[in-house]
Amino acid sequence: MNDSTSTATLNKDVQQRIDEHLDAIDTVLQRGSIARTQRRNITDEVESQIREMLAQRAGKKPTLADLEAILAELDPPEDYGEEDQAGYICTEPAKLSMLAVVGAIFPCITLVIHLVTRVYLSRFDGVLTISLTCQGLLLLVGMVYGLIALSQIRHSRGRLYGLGLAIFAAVPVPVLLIYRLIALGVTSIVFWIRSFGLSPSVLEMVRGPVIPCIAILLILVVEFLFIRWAWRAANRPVGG
Amino acid sequence: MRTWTAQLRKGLVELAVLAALREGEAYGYQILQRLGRVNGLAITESTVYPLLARLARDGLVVVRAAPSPHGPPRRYYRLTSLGLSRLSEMKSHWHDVCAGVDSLLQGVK
Repeated sequence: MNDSTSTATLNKDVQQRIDEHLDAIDTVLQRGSIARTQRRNITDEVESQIREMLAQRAGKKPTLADLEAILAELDPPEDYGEEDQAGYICTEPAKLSMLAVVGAIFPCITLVIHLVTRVYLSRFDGVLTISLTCQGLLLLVGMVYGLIALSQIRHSRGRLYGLGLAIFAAVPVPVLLIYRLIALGVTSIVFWIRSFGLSPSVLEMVRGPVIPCIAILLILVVEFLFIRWAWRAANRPVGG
Repeated sequence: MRTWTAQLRKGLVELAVLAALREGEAYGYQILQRLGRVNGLAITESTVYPLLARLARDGLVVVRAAPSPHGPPRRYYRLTSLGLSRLSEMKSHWHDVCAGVDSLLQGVK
């Protein structure tokens, strides 16, 4: 692992065992995307410590048993891969999640298709149906991308960012569903009330702006609560 | 309980390492030994060495290599002015947290 400048010489087996231990640490660090120079510095420190402990305890001719006793006291290589450690020294800059970017494009395309259909194509027969189908499919694909991106970002230990984009990709489908459900619920209630043959004043109130206003308010509140819940859930630490 | 104490130690490790270097320049194993003298801290090499690498990268410590009688050259770490300033900030924050938590714990048996 290292070009030793040591005055103490180690037998081949002992040196080999040290190298195995250092290689195992290096592998764990590598898995955590630690830069080569830093991995080298860390393993050098560990080797230095092992050699010093060996010299203190076993003098100039340490045996494999002496080394094993020391290694048993040290942290196992896998401890170098703990989440906090990896986060501590990760030198690679965080990357924008491409899945989140791609996912966020789908709602934008959907919006463009929706507007173009409404403004220019609504007079053509069948176009609206095809357009709505396409919009639904695009939103579903965007949601799938968004959910995968969310999972990847949350498990990336800070190496990926773009949580906002991922949520933007993932929430339109449930947001539209909530909107539709509330609208449908309110309409059903209005029809139900009308069927009772109520007094004209009450019917006037039902026909007037009060019910739509209540429906809009309800939609806004529920959508806000849902998006806030989604944002908080996405930001919650993994396993927390 | 074990998880909680481990998390607490991890949160304190940077402050502890910077404070250990306040005593003067030291190499990795020496820093571990300094920390080992503190009861309850129980910080081990798998935490300290990666942290030292990070502190060096961030310019909070400077590193000087010197020959060792036992093995590869020792890497001596020394606090920079930036490191001292960070230590001072962390110390102040630590005192605030301690005072706050102490006040919360008053009366708890």
